[in-house]
Amino acid sequence: MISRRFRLRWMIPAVILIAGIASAQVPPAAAPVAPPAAPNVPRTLAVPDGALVAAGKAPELELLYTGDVIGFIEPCG
Amino acid sequence: MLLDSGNFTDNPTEAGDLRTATLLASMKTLGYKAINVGERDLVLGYDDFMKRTEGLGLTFISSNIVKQGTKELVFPPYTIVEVKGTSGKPVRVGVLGVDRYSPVWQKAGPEGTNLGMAAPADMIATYLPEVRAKSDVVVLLAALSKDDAHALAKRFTDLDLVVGAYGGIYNTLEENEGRIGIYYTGNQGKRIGESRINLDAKSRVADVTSYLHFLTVHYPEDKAMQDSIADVLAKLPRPEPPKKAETLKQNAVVPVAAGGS
Repeated sequence: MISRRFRLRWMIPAVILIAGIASAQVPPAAAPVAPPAAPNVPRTLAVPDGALVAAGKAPELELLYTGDVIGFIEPCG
Repeated sequence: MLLDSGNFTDNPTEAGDLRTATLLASMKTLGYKAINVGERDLVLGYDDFMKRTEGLGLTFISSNIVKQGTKELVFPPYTIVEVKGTSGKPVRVGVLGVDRYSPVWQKAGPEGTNLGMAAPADMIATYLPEVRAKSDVVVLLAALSKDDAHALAKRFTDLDLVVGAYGGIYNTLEENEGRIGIYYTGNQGKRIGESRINLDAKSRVADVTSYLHFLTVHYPEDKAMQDSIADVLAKLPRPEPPKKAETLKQNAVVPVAAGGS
């Protein structure tokens, strides 16, 4: 007959061993991964919401510019 | 404040001259503050240009049209326009203008000289420091390729904005070299660029928000301008329609010639 004391003597190291092996097999906690950076998409120059003029506070200075007009005074297209 | 990067001139014909004159008069009415002189605008030379623009009261500039073989300018290289900002404070806008570099370009200049084109970078390097010192905002009007505009913006970091037109190219998206925005508006007056600019406490550009307006029928007409242009169009010489007999004759000849072997 195996005494209680004898069983404990072997069980405790066995549990420690199994726990050790088990813990060794658990993958290490993953390092926190930063969310992917938003792609650097340039802003569109279209006026938002199909409006004729963009809404917003009046700026200090407003520039309007054209070029290569080559004499066009009539609607085209 | 309205600006134009140049090449506003139609073909040198009777109808083209009338269109160009109307366009320039309209630009004056609209209040354009600075216009770069483009290659097209000098197609018949300096004296013709001066005659066509005489008395209009528009400001034409060019930082790189020179007397051939020199760096002697024939137009003011820049202008400084002072406007009242929304806050009520004055804002000084320095405007330079350049055309594409071509070592072979030449036109008749003033007093028997020839005009030539100096390298834009050389001329900007010469004039930008004084324009920067006198201005809160510095704009370069560019009648050259967008790639060239990027190269200039990369080199001259004292510019604030490059606005231009060349070869029908226009931006649909924001383009920058560092903090300098580059905006191209296409051709034929179909689009107009808009940049909303705010300044910081030192009166330097703090932020720029830009849009490109495609002038479709959704944009309302200005009645007075429309009437004025209608009057001009009525005066335009109408091209003579081809004579019917000649057309038939030409059509008849072609298949015979093609199959005559």
